[in-house]
Amino acid sequence: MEKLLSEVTEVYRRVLKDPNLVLSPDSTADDVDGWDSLNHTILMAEVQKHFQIKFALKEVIKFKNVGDMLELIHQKISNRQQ
Amino acid sequence: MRYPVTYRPAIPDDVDFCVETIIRAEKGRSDILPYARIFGLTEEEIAALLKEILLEDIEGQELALSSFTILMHNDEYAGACGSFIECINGVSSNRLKSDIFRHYIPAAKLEAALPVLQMLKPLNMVREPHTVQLESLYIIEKFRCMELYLDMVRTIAEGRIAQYPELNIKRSYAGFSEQNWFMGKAAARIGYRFHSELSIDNPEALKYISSLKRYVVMKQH
Repeated sequence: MEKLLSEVTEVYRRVLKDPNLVLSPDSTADDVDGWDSLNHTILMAEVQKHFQIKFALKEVIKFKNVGDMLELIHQKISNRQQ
Repeated sequence: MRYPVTYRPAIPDDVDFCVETIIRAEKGRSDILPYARIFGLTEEEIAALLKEILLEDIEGQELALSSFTILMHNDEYAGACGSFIECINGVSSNRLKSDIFRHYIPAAKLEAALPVLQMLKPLNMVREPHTVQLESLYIIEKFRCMELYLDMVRTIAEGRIAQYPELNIKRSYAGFSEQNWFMGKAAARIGYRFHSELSIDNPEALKYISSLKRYVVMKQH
């Protein structure tokens, strides 16, 4: 999970243009400068592109924090590898 | 009341009327349908997308069938209004709508719309969690009167509050474009007060929306 967190952090740093951004599994949009509804659209698109996965709408609307997203990314990557 | 109405939750058969409600409310007194202008789609394409989105019924934002209450006069539609509880499942309505648009709007159209959405961002309401949010207020022209409009706002806000006693909801909000601000002011008769003004100082925005200002009213329940 730490590797996934590090990769997601890199995506966020690039999109939000903040090289010092630090994410944790507990991070929410309220904790991260610039993670507003507009940037959320770009962030989700970039995360999916980076990991070459697709989030279903019913999945993505349940994300309450970065940890929820990491779980889903992990699950999708694992499913792909099986 | 001149036209007595009954209120009921929307059902799937009402979806076309709910789409019409959103489109009429978005247009207000203008011919500009912001969703169509922003995403570069026709009104028919937007109507088809709204129908799909409403039927997907994602709770916690206005574009869900279950957020709509229908006003009936005998067997005839008299109006409709959307309402929801902000952050009801812990996710903001703005974020839910972002996810919905990303899913339903063609990627190239969405990408092209991002600078426009950025420009229009100052008009986005920052909504207080666990409050009632009223959206898409619409009464069919022949039934239109202030008495019915005020009854609709009061009934729907109080109905939502009663639906979630465990949330102990204390406030309801509604937003109005500058052209419809008279409706916001009229809501003072049922206890709503001016809360905030949102504005854009870029006239370029008028290509996409009909007004550069939006007013928010709030009622303490």
